[in-house]
Amino acid sequence: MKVLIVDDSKAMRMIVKRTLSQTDVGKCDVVEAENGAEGLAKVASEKPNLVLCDWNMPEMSGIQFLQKLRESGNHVNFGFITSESGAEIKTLALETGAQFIITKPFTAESLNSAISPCVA
Amino acid sequence: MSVSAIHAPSLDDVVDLMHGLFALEVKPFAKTTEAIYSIAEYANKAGEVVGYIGCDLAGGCRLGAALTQVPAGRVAEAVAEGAIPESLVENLNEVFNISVNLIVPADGSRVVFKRAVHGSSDAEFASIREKLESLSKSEFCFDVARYGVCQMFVAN
Repeated sequence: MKVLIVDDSKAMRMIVKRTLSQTDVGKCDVVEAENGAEGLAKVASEKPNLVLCDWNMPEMSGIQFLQKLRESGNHVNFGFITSESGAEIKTLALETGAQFIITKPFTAESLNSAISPCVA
Repeated sequence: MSVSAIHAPSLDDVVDLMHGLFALEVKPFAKTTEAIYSIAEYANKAGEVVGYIGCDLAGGCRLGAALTQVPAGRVAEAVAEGAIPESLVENLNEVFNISVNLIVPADGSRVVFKRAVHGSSDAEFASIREKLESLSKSEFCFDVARYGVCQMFVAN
């Protein structure tokens, strides 16, 4: 199991990584990227099973990253972990092809519930 | 900026958010009167600032440290030095980013964290601080387990 964490905040990448280790996924390979553009490159080179991505990032946002992935025919499991909580944002995320969207702050339980269908 | 445009959060809202963020016990604490050190701006879709969240120096160091569980000893050092270290500034900015959920426009529109200024040495601190004087402000004080007391405000 390989997970790509995409967030411009180093602190948040650390938190997501730590919380991920507390889920049923447990120990897994984690690769990181600081924005969507870097995320695209990491998806190509690392071929993760799951992408956990922030929404607001410089250079390329999370939703732009997801749009580009889907346009290229890549259907990797993809979830947002973001401070965005609006209904429009959630709808856009799901319509674009995200499996889930979690609002920060989040717990190991909420992350586990969200990712379980993706890693089963 | 319309004063009624944002729902003021309650102390429970703030405590719940911080507890969820740090996974540490967070309890209301008697209000203190520490000086404001860090101020975050939040903007609407048009880029207009619609709200602010701020905190005192010690509180900012504690919030930043609690986010990634930096040893509490580092906080005491930073407070004694009178400035938030760069590593904790990054963490505090992320706390401010996530705290956008405390800025809830009455019309449900989207608000995003725009930027934060830290300390009077920041060129823009004084002008933002001055703007706060005329705004409605809700103040909160809470204690984060292992780290200590934080004074925070939400203004619009």
